Amino acid sequence: MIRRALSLAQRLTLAFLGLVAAVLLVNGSISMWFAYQEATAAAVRVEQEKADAAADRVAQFVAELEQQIGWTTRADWSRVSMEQRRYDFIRLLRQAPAITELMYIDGEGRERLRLSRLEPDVTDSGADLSADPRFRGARDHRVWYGPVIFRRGSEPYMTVAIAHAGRNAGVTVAEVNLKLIWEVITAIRVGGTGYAFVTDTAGRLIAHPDMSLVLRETDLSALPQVAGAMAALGERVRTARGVDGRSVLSAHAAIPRLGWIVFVEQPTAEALAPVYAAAYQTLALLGLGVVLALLAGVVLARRLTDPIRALQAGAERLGRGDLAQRIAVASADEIGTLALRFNEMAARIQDAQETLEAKVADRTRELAQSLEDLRAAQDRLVQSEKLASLGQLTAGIAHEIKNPLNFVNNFADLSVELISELHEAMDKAGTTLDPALGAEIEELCRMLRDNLGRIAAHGRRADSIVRNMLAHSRDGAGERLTVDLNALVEETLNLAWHGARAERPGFNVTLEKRLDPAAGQLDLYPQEFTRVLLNLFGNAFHAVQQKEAPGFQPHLRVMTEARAAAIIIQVRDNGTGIPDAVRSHIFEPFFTTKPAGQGTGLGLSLSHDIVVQQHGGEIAVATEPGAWTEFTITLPRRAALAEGAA
Amino acid sequence: MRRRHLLPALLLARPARAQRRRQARIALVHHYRTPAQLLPEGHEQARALHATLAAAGWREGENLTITRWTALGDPARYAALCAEVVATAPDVILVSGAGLAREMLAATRRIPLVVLTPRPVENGLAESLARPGGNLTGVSADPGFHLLGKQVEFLRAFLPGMERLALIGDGTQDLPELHDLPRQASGAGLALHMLVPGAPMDRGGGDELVARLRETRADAALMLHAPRMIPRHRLVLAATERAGVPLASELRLFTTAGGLFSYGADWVEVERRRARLVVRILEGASPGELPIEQPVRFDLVVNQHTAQRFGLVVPLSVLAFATEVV
Repeated sequence: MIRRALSLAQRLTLAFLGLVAAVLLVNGSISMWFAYQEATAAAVRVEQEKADAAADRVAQFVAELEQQIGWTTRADWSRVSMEQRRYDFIRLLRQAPAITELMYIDGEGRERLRLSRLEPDVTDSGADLSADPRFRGARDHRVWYGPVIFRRGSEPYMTVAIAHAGRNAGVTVAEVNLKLIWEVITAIRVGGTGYAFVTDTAGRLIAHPDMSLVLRETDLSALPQVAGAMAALGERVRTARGVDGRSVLSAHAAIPRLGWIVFVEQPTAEALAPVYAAAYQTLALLGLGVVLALLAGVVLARRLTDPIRALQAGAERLGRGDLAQRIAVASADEIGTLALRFNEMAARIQDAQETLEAKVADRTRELAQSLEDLRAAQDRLVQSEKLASLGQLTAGIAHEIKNPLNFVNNFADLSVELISELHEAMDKAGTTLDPALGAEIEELCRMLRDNLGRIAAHGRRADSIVRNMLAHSRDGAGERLTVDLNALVEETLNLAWHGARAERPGFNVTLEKRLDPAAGQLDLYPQEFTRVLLNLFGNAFHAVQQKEAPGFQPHLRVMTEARAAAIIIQVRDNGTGIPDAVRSHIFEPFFTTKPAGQGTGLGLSLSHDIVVQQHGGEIAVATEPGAWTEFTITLPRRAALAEGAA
Repeated sequence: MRRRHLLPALLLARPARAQRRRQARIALVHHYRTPAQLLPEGHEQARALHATLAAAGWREGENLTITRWTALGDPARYAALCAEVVATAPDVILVSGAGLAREMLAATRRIPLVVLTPRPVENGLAESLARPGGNLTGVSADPGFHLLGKQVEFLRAFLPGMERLALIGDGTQDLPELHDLPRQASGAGLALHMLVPGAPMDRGGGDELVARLRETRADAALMLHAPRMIPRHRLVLAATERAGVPLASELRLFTTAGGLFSYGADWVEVERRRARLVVRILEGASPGELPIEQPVRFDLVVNQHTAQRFGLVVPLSVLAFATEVV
């Protein structure tokens, strides 16, 4: 598996995330765009309404003034006394703080009364004001608003002239300090930090929350929104720079009657706050959605990929040979089914492998057994061949030695007879023979006879050896009979025991016989087999005689044991045992540990020959040097006896 | 996931209105008031100043330190006082009185001065009302001229047969309106007597005043804007009372203490406007760029009891004009 690539879970999460984010993004963008449009339109609408409301407020301020001045424009006012007029004017000044000066011009255009907050009253000055624009304007339009003037270059004033009701009526002229609009203007709240201001049609500032701007006679006609409003061009709401340079949403409403324009400006950021709020909301929702999608994607992907990962891990372990591995996937979907199939497959593979292993183990065991058997057979064959060839060699040698030895023995016997004839001859000669000479000859004859006796004795010994050697090449010389094995063993033991006693009168040994009655009759060559047993018993007696140890009790045990297809004869002594170096050679001809002249070294060799070659059995030795020796003969009950074996 | 917490914060975040909350020190310097009258508890004008500053976020004892100084009506002290005030290097100096303002302007061209004085342009303090220039701005105590004519007119309403009018001053008055008055309608046929006591009011000035009033047989007295005498207004009133002459003035102070009436600017309103200028300067505006405002509202305060005492009827026209009747 390529690790560098994105995992399935990551890809699934990303896909889910991407999908949700895309949907949210598209949705959010569209709704944001609509919200922006709507909010902008709403803000514009609101600004416009605010501008209209502000214009209304300003217009109302002037309308109230007008209404208050109207108190003095009743039709009957021309008929009331000057004192009453003065009183009315005083009340008007009292009620309208913005009015600083009031003037009454009669129908002829003469100034009749002038009241001021600052200067002494003037009554009936009679000044001719019939050509004065205030008088003319009021007479022409009933209500006339003069231009805004800045007294002493600072305080904004405006003249309001209202014609009285009735024919040839007079005019009331009021000088209004526009600073008092300040209270109206500052009272107009435009959002949090918005403001309203008023200019005349020339762009001169009439009212602004910052009074100092007004008092400085600020000309705002350079501001694009003011210029636009003055030219009555463009939208009534626009984005522009405020007096202080901030970006504002500016709206205006004209008061045509006064020739004033009321502006309402609100910082763009504030006016569009709902738009931004909507945008933030959309962004927040988008973020939230993405986070939720991420979580959902992670959870979903994990739920989907966890079983797959478990499957993968299981498959990896299975691939590494861990066949006992089972995948724990609980889901009931396709992956669960897959896991189930996987487990089944693993179980089947495991079964097959286990059977195969058992079979291989069996075969191996069998093969090992066969090999073992083969090796044993080979060993035996080699041993047999070796012993057989040695036997043949020995027999060959014996055969060749036998003829000369016969000559020696025969001629020795003949020489003895010849000596007897010599004696007879001497006796015949008797007295003729010098007695001394006779004695000497007698002496020589005796010596010759002695010598010949020795030759004969050793010749017989040599002959015996040769005969033994020839036994190797015997070809079924003996008779084959069915004998009682136990009886044969007992008989032979007695013979050996007596022989040993005869040879060494003080010899003593404990004999133990464990003869299995089931041994019964056995087909064998009794003469040869007796030789084998005698040999074994003799060796045992020799071994226990050789051993010298304090409190040593010589002991010999003979045991027979009947088995299904064989009979076992075991001879065990507690003598000197056989050293390891010797053990492998004990069945070889002429190998003996006895002193020269005491043994021929052919006993065990012959025994081996007899048991193995003649009877088809086995002879084995087990020993512990210095402790015990045990010979075991196994005879097949119905063996194919080696008829005519070499 | 900390970023998620930012979103509501962004939604809630509103640019906090930049309000300077640093410490500011202003000096309140007056030409005649007593130290107690400069405290908010001591005078309504001081109270108005205090309240307007507090409304704009400048609270004395919190972020605003106000040191108060007064010349106690003694022009000889002006120079030393101004030097002393300038030496403390306040952020803004509020100065009352044209003479004191001139001294202060001589003492510093750097520390913003917010003056409250009559006719700042004519008194040589400002270049123009719209743009005073330099380190000075403020409010004008009058609409560019004295309300003498109006005051005489009201007196005439009380005393239609008034022939002799005593004008009480402290010798610092050189009002052009004073010369104009006889030519005005209200001043027609009126004999004006300028009374300036040679001695301080508490050291024989009162007696001198009574003697002069009797001597001139004045029908009424009008208190001019006399900074040195304002702190002694009760002594002035006692003197006019002894002489049996009703006293009019421009200050409510005199009316409530027994004067007949007063007609003058709404000083509380004027002081509020001055306080707003102080706030603008503390917020970083350049004083020379702030126009000097003139008073808009004028108060006519009438003392009914005084009128009764002098056997006078408050005329209807005066009553209609009056903002306050005590």
